Amino acid sequence: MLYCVELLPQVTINTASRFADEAAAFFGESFNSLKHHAFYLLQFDPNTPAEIAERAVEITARRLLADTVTQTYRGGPVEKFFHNLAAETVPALILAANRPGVTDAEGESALQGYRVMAASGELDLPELQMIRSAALYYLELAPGVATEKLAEFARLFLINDLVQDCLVFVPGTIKPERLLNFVNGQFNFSKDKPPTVKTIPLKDAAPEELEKISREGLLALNLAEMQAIQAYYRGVQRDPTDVELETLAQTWSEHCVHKTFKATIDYTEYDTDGQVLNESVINGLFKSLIAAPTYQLKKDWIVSAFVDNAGIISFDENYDVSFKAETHNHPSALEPFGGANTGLGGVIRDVMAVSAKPIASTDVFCFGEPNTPAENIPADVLSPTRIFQGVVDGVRDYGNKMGIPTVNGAILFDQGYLANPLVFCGTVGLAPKNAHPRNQQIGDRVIVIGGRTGRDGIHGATFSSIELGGDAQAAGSATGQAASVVQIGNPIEEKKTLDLMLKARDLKLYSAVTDCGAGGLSSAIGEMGADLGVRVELSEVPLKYAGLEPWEIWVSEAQERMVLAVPPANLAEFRRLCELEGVEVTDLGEFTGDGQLTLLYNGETVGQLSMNFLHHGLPPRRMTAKWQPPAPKPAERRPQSYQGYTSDLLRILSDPNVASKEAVIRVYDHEVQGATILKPLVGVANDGPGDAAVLKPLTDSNRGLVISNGINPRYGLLDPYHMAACAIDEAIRNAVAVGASLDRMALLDNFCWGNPAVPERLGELTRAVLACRDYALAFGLPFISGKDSLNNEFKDMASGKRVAIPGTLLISAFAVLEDVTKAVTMDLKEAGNLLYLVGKTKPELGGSYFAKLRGQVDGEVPQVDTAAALRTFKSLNRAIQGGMVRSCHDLSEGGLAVAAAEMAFAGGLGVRYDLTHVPYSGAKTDRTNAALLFSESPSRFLVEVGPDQKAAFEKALQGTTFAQIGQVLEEDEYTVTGLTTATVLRTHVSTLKKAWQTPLVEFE
Amino acid sequence: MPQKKVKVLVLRAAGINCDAEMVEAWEKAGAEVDLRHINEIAGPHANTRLDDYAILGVPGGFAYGDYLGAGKLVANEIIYRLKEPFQRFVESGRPVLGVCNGFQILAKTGLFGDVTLLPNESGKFECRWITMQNTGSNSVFLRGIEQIYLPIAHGEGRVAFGTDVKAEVSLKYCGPDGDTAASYPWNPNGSVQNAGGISSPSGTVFGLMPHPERFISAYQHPHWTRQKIKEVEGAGLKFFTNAVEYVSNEI
Repeated sequence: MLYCVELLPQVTINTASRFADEAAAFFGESFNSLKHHAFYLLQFDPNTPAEIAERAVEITARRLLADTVTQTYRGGPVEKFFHNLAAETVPALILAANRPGVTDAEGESALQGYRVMAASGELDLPELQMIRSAALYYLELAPGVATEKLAEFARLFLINDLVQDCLVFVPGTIKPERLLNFVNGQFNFSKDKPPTVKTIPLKDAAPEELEKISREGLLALNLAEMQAIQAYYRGVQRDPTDVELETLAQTWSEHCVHKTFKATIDYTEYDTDGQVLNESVINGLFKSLIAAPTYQLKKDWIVSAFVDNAGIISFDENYDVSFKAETHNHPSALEPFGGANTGLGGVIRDVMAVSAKPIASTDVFCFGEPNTPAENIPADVLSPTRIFQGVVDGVRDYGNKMGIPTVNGAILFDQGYLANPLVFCGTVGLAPKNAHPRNQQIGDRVIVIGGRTGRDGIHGATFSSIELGGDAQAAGSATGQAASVVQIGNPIEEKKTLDLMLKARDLKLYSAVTDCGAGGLSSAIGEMGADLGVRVELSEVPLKYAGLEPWEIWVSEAQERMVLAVPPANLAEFRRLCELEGVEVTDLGEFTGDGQLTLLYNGETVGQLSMNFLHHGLPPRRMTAKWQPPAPKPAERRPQSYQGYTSDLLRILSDPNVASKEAVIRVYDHEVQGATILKPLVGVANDGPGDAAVLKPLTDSNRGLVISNGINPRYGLLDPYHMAACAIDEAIRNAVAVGASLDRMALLDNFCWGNPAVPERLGELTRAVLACRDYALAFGLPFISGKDSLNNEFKDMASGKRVAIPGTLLISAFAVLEDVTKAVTMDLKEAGNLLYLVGKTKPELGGSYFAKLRGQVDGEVPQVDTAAALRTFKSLNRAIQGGMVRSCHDLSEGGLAVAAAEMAFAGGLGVRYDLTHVPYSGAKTDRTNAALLFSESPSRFLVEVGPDQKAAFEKALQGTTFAQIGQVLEEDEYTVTGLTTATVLRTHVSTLKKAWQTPLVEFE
Repeated sequence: MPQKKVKVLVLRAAGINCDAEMVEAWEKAGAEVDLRHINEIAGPHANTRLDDYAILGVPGGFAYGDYLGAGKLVANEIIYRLKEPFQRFVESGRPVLGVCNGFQILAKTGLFGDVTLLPNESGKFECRWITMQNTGSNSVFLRGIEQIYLPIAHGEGRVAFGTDVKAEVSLKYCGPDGDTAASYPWNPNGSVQNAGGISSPSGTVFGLMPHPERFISAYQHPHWTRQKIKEVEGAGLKFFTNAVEYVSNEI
């Protein structure tokens, strides 16, 4: 019997007002008001007498669900409730809930709360089976609004069709039976049929049949791979089960095994006329261009590079720090909140999987341009605004609830990301040295802990290897699979698991650990048992609901699960800890030593694969890459008399990519754990854009950790090689700006690209990777971890056009800082201080924001001169460590003009500087005011020095290019003297600040 | 003879996440601290008695995900699993501190009467520093504190009162000139009476939304790079030393 409770708020709660604002905009003058009421469904055992159930519902409403200071409630049997509702003269009504089977953390929490009340014995409460949370929306609208219009509103603003469902009724049309059916569906959805295992007729299939099997099963395997599988089964003389084929598809997916980065690549470079310049064969982008330099650099402080779930370096004599960054792009495109939520949740688990405590997170997002008109958004694509809000909300929810400060990030807007947003999440961890075991033994138990397994996130790994839109989405919706590829997070489940993990680690209870990410248990257990072999009983896996097929259990990407190898002798103690922390623990089987993956269901073998074939049977790929630079177009020259630089600067500051991200940064708890010594927002009013975060993770030591990033896809439109070099330089100089040295700095790469089967795309990617090799070696900085996300393409069903994202590389840097008390921020400190420009300015306006103002990309792409850059980084670090620097800011988007403006308004002070003093290198004719103000040449800093430190600072910088170009003023003034000694830019700092602060506040 | 250290119990539950900082603050204030999961105090794994401690600290976080309202589900556990020892602890006059989620938990046990915390009026979570003014209350935690600059980080900090309130507002959000009627952004969440901290009439139970445990070192202050560092301790430590001294000298 089903009962319900509706909560009636007596004060205005503003979470509802966002929906009301959207409703007002959507319905226009027809709209009067919107109310949002929480609604709960309670399922008792069918034998519970009605009066006992009704009493329990009343107690639950009063004591558990309602906040009686500000809410009243009503409820009872759902049937009666809905009939009463239909009889009332209610306004338009929407009932919304998660789709059946989709995780409902609120309902699960409410059930736990009920059980605590019941267990106390004081209330005499009956057994309750389940609580589901839902929502009722009441809208007062002018008469005549159609049901379809209401439904459209609900789908656009209140629910996401993939994971939620709703019923809508305009006044006078409420049908109690439909409401009843809807809520009953919440409880009776699991298939009652017994689990089945299918055999796939593959052994004797023709090539076209193999391709069909792959396509229809969303396996994302090509013909060569299907044929390798066929050869294996011909060898063992049988056909594969669905469990086995799914295991292979997951393990061999681009997402899990990075086929493109492993492939042998035939790479050809052409000049702009199409003449071949250079041909080469690259023996694996990853192995030869990313990993090889790291091994060549032989840094003794690297603890683990590329082999574990996160890269690890030595922090001090007792601790190591780890860092991992990942993307969750496809899921975020379809369900922004859930996609970003579980994206962050997943990367946090990567750090947990190296036995570390997560101490900070980073996030970088790329979206379509804000306020894109609806007619320019393809069908089946969510608006950039909705994606932006959902993604930020998802990261906020997971990061804040885990208690991990989000300390560094970036947000970029470009129409190339309209259908394929990018969501990068990174997490940094801290662990005592030698705390992470990788030592599973024959006989160790296979233990899964954390969340239960459901049908959520099935085929995530293979799905992410297929472009969005077109066939995949169509096939997905036809089979109901698009819905299930989206995962739903429950951060508190993960927090419990983390608390447990750290205790179990310190007690040395496990011999190995990994997380369940893409591919679920199949990948986690398959990898953990790769050397030994493993036997798993799938019917033991705790399920959210009945009815999952064995293969679904095995590949589900349900969140918040970790797999551990636990020696049998430690199992009892491990279970006791789990019980204490409230974490579900299940023994699934053991590590066998037979080199086989053996999967059982109720004792019957449903799959058996040789580990050797599973992990080494993937046929190597050979791919073709071509690079031809775009034909150069001369950049437009400004007339000599041009005086519009003030307006240019204001426009660049209010470009959404440059503008303040405060509205986003403040919804993240960036100070939890108390270690954020340099916060993301700095300055006299706590609102200036800090260059990098500094953490002081240990209470009894001043040693710190610097975290920064570099990204600029616009340069990639000209040349991905220099884009990558500039991204590396930017990540380094952001860290150097706050006081880091290069002595113990490591890098992470995250490549997001389109379809690598297109030779031109792979050519761009190859060029970017080549730069990673060259600059890692030149700077002497190793990559220690990285990830790629390919196939970020969208096929528009209407036009049939394929759109790829601009090739995008995120470089994350982290560095150990000897003494955090020496760190500096970018806000100007004191009037009368001197301003120095450090580094050489070249006429590099290609891909710049100055060019963007004119709707251009062309011009000279900024290039990194590593010898000069290294001298600058080292000297500047010496000056900062010597206490000679009051503030320091790197020059990036918008060049000198933007950097000076940001320093001025962050410090609440003015600046005056003279372009004639700017150290310049390049053709004399290109030395223009525009180039000096807005060139984005890398490796440059603007530095504030007190007059008393002038001599010391200049001495420290000897041998580098630098010049004093101006000074700090008390007044609200920003004045620039141009090359002909006339004032070329003059405005108030407060005007600049306003231009910088306004855009995203409005967008949010 | 060295004096025996004051014993503090810091309570933990699934989703509490500011426990390490609070433990550090109490230790820095001179106390001996045990961090315990609620399942170690109640239920089959209980190994800890509330009665053995002089001070109870409830840290911030999102206990049980803050579903059904911030702090509600831990409050529910205190009510149904720890009712008597908790009541005994409070009634004996031993200090109880709830910070952020800890404050929400204390409020939702009904300890302060009809006091609750609602979603921020701004409709969103906010993390930033704010200034608070002592109203002149008798709270043992606030001795010697006039005005204090502290970080907040919450989405449900809007204090609301019902009819039967058994507490007083002891800390109020204020503007730069100390104006305790200042509205947003000075009052970050829309609390009635600018209430940011609430005390029991006895002055021994205290809940507040800002995080004093995040300001126990000068280097946690957002402007430390702009100032000469004179004191290496942060002003937030005073809340903790006050309670420890109160127990040492007056109980």
